[in-house]
Amino acid sequence: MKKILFVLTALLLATAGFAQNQVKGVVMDDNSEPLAGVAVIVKGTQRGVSTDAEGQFSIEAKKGETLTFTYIGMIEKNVTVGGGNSLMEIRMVPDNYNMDDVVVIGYGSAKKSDLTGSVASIKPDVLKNGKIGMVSAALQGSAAGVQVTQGNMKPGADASILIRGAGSINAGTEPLYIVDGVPVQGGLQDLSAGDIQSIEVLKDASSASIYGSRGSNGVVLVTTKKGTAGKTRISFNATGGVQKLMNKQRMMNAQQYYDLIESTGQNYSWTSAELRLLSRGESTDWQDAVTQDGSFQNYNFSISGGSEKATHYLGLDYYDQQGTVKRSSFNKLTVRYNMDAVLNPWLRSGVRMNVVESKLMNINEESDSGYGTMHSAITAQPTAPIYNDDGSYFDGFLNTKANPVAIVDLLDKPTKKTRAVGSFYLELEPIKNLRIRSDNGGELVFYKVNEYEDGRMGQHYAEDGHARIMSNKKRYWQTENTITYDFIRNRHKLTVMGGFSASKTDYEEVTADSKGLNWLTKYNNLGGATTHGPNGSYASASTLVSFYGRATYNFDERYLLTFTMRGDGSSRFAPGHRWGYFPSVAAAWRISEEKFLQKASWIDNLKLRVSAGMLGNQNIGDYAYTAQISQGGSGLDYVFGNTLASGAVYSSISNPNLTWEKAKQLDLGIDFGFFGNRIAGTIEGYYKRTSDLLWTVPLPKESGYLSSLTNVGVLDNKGVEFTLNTVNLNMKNFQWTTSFNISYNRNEIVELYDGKQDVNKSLFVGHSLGEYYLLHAEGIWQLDEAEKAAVYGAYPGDRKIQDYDKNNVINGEDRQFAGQSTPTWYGGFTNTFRFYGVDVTLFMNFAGGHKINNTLLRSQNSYNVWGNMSEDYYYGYWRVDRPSNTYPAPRVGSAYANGDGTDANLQDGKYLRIKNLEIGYTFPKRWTDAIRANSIRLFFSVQNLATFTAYTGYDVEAWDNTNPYPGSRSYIGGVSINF
Amino acid sequence: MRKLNIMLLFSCLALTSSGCDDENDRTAEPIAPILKDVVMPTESNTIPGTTVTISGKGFDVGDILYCTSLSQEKDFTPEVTEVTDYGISIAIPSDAAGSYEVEVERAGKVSKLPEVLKVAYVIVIEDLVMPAGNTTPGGTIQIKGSGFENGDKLVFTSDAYPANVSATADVTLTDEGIEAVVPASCYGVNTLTLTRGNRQGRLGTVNIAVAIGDEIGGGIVYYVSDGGIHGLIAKRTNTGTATEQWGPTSEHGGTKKEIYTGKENTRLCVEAMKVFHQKFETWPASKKSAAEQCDAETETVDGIVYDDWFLPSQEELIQLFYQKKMLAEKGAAMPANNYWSSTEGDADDTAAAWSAYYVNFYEEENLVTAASDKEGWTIGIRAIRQF
Repeated sequence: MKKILFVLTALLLATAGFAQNQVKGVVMDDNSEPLAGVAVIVKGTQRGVSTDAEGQFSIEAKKGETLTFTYIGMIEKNVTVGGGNSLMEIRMVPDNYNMDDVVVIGYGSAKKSDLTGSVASIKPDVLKNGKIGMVSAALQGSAAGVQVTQGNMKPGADASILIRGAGSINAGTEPLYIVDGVPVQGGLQDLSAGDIQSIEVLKDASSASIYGSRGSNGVVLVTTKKGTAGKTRISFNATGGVQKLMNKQRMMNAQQYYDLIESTGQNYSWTSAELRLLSRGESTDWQDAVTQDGSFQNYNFSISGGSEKATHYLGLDYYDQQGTVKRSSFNKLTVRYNMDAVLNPWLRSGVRMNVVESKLMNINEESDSGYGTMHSAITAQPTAPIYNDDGSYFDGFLNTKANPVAIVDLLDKPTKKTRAVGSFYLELEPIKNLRIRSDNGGELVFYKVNEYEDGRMGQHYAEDGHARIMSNKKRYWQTENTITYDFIRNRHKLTVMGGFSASKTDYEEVTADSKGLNWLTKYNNLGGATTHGPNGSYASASTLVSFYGRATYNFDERYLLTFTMRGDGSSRFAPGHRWGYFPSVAAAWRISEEKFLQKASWIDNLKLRVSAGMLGNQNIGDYAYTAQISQGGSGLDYVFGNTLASGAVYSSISNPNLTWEKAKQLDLGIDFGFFGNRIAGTIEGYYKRTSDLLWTVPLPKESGYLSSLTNVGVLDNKGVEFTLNTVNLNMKNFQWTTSFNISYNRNEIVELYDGKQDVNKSLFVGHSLGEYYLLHAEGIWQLDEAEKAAVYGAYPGDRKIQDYDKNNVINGEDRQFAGQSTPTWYGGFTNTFRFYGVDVTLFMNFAGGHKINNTLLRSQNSYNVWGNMSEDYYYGYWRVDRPSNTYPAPRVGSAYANGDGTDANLQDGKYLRIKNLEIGYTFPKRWTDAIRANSIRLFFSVQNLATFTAYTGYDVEAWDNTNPYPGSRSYIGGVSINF
Repeated sequence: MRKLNIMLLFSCLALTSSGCDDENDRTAEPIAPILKDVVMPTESNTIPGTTVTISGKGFDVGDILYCTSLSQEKDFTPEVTEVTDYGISIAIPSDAAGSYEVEVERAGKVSKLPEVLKVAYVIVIEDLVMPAGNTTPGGTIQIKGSGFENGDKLVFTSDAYPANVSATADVTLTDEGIEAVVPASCYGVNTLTLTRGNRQGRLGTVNIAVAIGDEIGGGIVYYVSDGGIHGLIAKRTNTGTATEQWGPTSEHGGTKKEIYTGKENTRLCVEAMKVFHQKFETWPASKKSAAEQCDAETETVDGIVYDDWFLPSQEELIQLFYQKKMLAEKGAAMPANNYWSSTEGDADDTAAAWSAYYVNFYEEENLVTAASDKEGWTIGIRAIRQF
């Protein structure tokens, strides 16, 4: 009918003699996927059409008229008709704050407009900002309140996610990850980014309390792709690139090292090999010797489709990365199959299957990181050759356990993992609006770490090799059963959900250790070793039974109320203390729907939210409440007569009252969307108080125990979050969108135990976790201060330490608070430009408000007799004729020279990183049509283009500053083809 | 907008191309070899024609050593036979001798070693046959062998001579070797060294026998053994006055009576007195015991200073008693007196502390010897030498 009307109108207008053109075009989304059903209207007229399945349209319009394109989930677009007959290619910008978007919440989904809690919804598109590494790393800077840190840069390393600050000291700060309803331990590392449909982060108590005792650190919900009815879609993405080491540490070369050592008069025992190398004018650059240009490739293939009755999705993903440290690598093969079927009008079912196999070749990360690969490479003396004249590894190092090149060549440490996760569901709808769903799933993980240290690695390693094997298996199953009823009458909408779930985790582990092995068979034939042990094994299990419910009430789309309650029974607590209850309540007021704002057409969305509730953390380890007995081992065994008898001893005291850490949280937020949601965002504030912190309370030694795990202590996190998405320009052939978020979090220990502080663990009431408490270094004693320096037994050229209590003695009493180790603010900033088929993305992330203890400076910036120092030190160390206020004189025995115990090695952790600069080109439709493709996109990206920071180590995010895996800049190219 | 886009493209490309910047591939420029802890072989071990090791760190295979003579000898570049982490071994040419400055060249750069290489000056005599049996001062010896040259000299040295004393004889070339006259001042077991300018070659030993009554070695031979190649020489005059104390009442310890023990007895007494002088004012350093007086004696004969005199042991003094007539005939009579020996008393536990043996030289032929009060009695002293 409408069409007829349009045709009539068009005819009328045509006969009226206007110079009408037939304007043809195609409408696509930002990924160049055609959009069907887009309304195309000539502005100010009744003329309009909608796009067909191929996204194509044809409409009568004359030059100068404006076409308006509207589509749910997209920002409205106006394009002026120009001259010519060319095919219009219209790209629409997605509306990140579209109120009709469906968002996944625990045990259900909700329209965005109906949300009362704080849920950050992350579109898979942002994952492209992290092309190398795990999905978790790609979330960095994508959402306010979600702090992602890539603490280890090695291939295959997972990034850590912290939601709204660290809320625990001993029970972990990792959020709960749920992938398609199944909790997945260890983050998102086994997922393929290509399989992800959406990621939702539940931040506040209202949204997370449906996960009760596991929700206090927030919840990350991942939903993978499903097939859609209709045309079969095939997608292929190939990505590859090289990685260049960043921030190579500038150390002294051999000649500078020799010069410095000789000038200090140190009795240094040079080896002939070193002297020969020096004479040749050579210098060993150990960092170069152990590193290389890394490379990476990622292939992703998916095929999806189906009918109204059944849809399917098959995803294959292969990821392979060769690290910048030689012989470090990671590869992963992921297979996913998702199927959903409508069996009959009242019964649906589906399966989710995911199998992952990965292998990580590790670098040397010993517990004493000073012996690790990179620390060895940074500090090994540059005068040492890599090989002796006979081809063996040089082994005359001062600092390191082994020749760094020998470590990378000979250390063989693969970590292999096989994980299978799957679930199936049945959903009944016996009567309208009543849904009964049973979701049953499980996970099976096999994990094996092999390690072989070759005797040729050096004198500190077992001569004939040392192999260790750790193998574990985790089995998890769960059943989750929910019943949901939607009650809708007039302006009242009520949804009630109730559920029951049960789950069990079994874990078993075995370790074996052998020395004196065949270097060919390594860890594959421990039986051939000359010595065995210590070997070990253990097993544990835990169960969780839960009841939960949620009621949401919507009055007139204006007033929203949610009540959530979960009761968890966990085997991790003593009988009688196993049940915990976690209620929450939230309310929202959609102000924009009020009559008094109806006239303000520029306001599309304005919502005020408030929520409060309680969450728990049951992550205390299995059997922690009970007294434990250790049996066997060198410290416990006895000899009776001439026979070894296995001894046993109580190793921990029981605490039957042990219970959850509880986090009470208050959240207040405003969501807004103005000017057709071209300016949209959220401002949010929260206050989270964690109490009953798990704490090892010291016991009097007469008790026979050193400490007892007890619930004491209170920790606060307060913060504000701000998110802003803008569509700055939305012209026919040019779009510019910006997305910005920033979060601030203040972490404070309110109470530990009996008003005590814990100096050893750097825990101070009134301060953040990880607060530095150190002596204050005030530069270097100068010549004219010799007399004053002598008071402290120091000489000019030594490090000057502030005598805080002015008692002429430097000791622990002079320590002061020197900043915290975790950022207080962080965020991300994305700008996307589209110009015809070219798209440019510039993504930056940033963090600050913290200090980094750059432990590398210990050896780099002071004279040490066991390894190399920085080039800056060589050119800047204190000398009578060249005073310095930074680098102490090269004097052996100079107190505090390496900065230990002082704030001398603290560096401002503030940084701004250009994480992704990407240029893509999507071929014009008429070209891609020729090969029957929907879209073909080529792109080139530079990751970690630049980092602006005062920090001087390898990577500003690295946890381990002593033996860091170097960060890298990546140059990546790829192609994406969709059929 | 197009401009902005192009700018972004360019900036991206620029950043990309500068991505692999500062790869400062410095080229290695060799410097002079650095050599540490260098120690030269000793001169006596550095014999021409042999291989020696200069110990030290930093030597490399391919090092060239230049040895420049500081002794006007020929420079040489030795063959390097081995290089280890702890030194370099080189072959010393057979014509090398004296001190050399050593430079080590590697890749065109040169380092001078801190020490000088000293090669022993050596004369090599082949098929050497030394004379068998004994000869006498003034006798002729014949040494067989090849490699002798006109102008070679024979140097006679002996442990029996005072330090740095030697005698030199010219040689005459013979068909089989050389011939030389033993200098009149030589006696006892002598080492013969052939010298030619700076060079020398150790040939071996000859035994030069003397007889009782020979006036040689700064005195008069009064006792011989081993066919005259070992013996005792008496000084021509007494030491000190006729009334000398032996020493303080204190046991020096370790003194013996036998022949050829007087020299060691005297050394023990002198050492003991050093301690005694420090402890007791009764015997200040200026007041010398009999042993110390002998030890301090010197006698210059024919320009040779004999300073190795000692107080004879009891048996040595007894032999002197038996030869007192001979000494008198040679003008070295021993005045009638009692004479101290260097042998302490041994009659009982305390005898060594208070007494020492003497011999009564008042007697004509009847030997009277006993131990007497070291400090209370004052008698004569006659020093002797030993060869």
